[in-house]
Amino acid sequence: MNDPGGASGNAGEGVTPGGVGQSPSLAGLLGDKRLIVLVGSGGVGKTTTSAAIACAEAQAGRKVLVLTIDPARRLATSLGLSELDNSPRHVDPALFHAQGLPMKGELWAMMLDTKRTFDDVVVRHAPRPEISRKILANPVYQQISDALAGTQEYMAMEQLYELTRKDEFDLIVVDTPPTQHALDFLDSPDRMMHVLDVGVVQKVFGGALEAGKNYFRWVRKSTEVVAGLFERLTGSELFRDMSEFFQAFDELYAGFRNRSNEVKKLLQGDSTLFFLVTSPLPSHVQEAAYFLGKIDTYGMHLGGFIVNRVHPLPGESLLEPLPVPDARRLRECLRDCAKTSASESRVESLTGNLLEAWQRYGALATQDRAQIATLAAQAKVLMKLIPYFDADIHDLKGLDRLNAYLMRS
Amino acid sequence: MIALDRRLIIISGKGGVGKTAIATALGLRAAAAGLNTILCEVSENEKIAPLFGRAASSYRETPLGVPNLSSIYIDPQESFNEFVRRRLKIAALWKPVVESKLISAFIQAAPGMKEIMTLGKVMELERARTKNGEPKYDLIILDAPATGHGLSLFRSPLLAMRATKAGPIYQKAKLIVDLLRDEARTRMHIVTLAEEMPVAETLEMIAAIRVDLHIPLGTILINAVVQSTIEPENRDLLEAVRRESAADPSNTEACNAAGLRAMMALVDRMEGRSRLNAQHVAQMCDRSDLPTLIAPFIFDAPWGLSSVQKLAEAL
Repeated sequence: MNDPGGASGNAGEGVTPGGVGQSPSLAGLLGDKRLIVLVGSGGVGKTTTSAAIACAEAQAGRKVLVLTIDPARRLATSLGLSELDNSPRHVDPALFHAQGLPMKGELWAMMLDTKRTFDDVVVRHAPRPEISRKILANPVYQQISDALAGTQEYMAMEQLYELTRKDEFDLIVVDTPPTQHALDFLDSPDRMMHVLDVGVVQKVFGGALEAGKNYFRWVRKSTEVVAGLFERLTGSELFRDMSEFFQAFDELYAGFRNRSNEVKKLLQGDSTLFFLVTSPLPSHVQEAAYFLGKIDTYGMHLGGFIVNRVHPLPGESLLEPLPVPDARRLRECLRDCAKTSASESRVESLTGNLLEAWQRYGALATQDRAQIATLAAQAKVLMKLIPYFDADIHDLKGLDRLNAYLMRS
Repeated sequence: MIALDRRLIIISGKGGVGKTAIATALGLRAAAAGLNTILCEVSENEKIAPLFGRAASSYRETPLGVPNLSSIYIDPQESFNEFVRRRLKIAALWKPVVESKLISAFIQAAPGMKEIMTLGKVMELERARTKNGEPKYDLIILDAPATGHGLSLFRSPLLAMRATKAGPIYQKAKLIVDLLRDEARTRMHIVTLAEEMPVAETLEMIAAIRVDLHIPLGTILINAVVQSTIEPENRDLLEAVRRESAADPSNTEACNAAGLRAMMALVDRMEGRSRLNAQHVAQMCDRSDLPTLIAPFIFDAPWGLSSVQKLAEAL
């Protein structure tokens, strides 16, 4: 019972609740896949889970890259990398061997640097060097490349496009940004394009600059009015910068659209699997349902649910009802064990403490099960339950512990 | 005790640490103390009004059915429209702007525009006065977003000032920055968890705020700290029982039947969690010069308004 892993009983097993059917193993599912995408709310352990899956597949003999988006410096440190930057870094196999862990393949890790990726994309795809110079120097670009909602997700897509085009890895595991952003990530091929969609924006900003040239009279008239109002609101400087940016960007627009369509196809392909990472907290399970809808809408393949931070109860299945302890028998048992060494009131007090622990913890465990059942009812897919660990996971040993639950069939 | 002695209280921190629960609990306490309080949410997925059994506030100041307490979701688009209406005054002028599809693209694309509009509304709530010149709200609690440490929201007025250099938006951004930095009006509290990553990230966040934001910082609130249910004076007895129940097979059997074995495992788990929490609480206190406050884990399932009330009492 004194499980050093803090995960006693069978709580972490791949229990398939409520008639979901035979659960295949995670390793079996991943066998012929080339791309794994983990989505879920913030704070549910996506980054750690991504790293664990990548480790397991690399240890089993594949050449794996984990692409992380959250700046989890501890992850880099735990992989023996002084830093994760915008290019894949090879994790030294000696680190695994030193921990007595096998490493038959190769593990690579990289962290997405949004700004640098965007700069690279602009430089790589601009039709002429002066265009890329113009864009990179534009103040509006500098803000957008760093701060615009959705840019991070879009650049993750660009990075994926480059990585899959080069075809250097057997498997790429992608960790996605938290909550609302993860939705952007699914939407990103369209969404970011919508923002930069010159269709509307360009008419105004571009039109303002080009006014007087070959523009139809009515277009010029209406855009001038709106543009003029904008200028009054924002000041002329911002207005000029925006106009310049959208004009220069127009030349890159077709390329952006083509690549994002490629990535969308890749995400919908048979060699890609999405996993929904969540905790059993009601708010996270609600958000998981939302992600599920998105995955479905976009025609992507769901590999399964990974439920982290499940409050396990010892010695019983996660999904059976919680037995209510009998206070009288518990008290007697304590008294027998304590023999004469304890006063009656002390025994009474300890009984109370134990029952309170049971009640508190039991409430959480019971809620967890109800939430897990709700989740399981939404899709007949693999479900992996990971217990709430009593220690933070930030090294290879920790990832291995997590894998003991994830990869168990 | 967490200080609510400024009109604008910002509750900041990483995602999943319980900012909304803490903000709501503080709101309940302030309202009970007679302060006219409004809770501001900036996420589309409104949580506060529904917690009180109300429909989503959708940019309306919504009374929550508790004396002195309201909430609002600050929709940047609505706030922008309001701004445009006020600036351009005549309907013939603002209508084409507000109704133009371009607006949404503009708000998305212009640096920091969404955030300026969000914070601009907060600023207005702060400045709102009743007919007899009294502040409309004694307390404005802003439940800050989680993204990017939640700091990009507060950094955007600085960015916008740099991008615009002059004009109405520049002026608005300037006023926002002045409010955020004002010791007399504003205070930011940071919510975190007694876990390794959240502690490290809180320290990074504090450092980042001190570099360029200069928002006056208050307390670090360490949320969801698990405390053991075993009273210290009962520990010896618990250990004695543990030894004895393992030593004598007949005892072991009886104890198993009474559920003691399962109970012990569960208590161990809880103790493990509370030890881990205690370590990180100590670390947080050691490594920061800000005062810290512990909020206990509220063992409530399902989580509801009564849970937040318990949290309010515990604070």
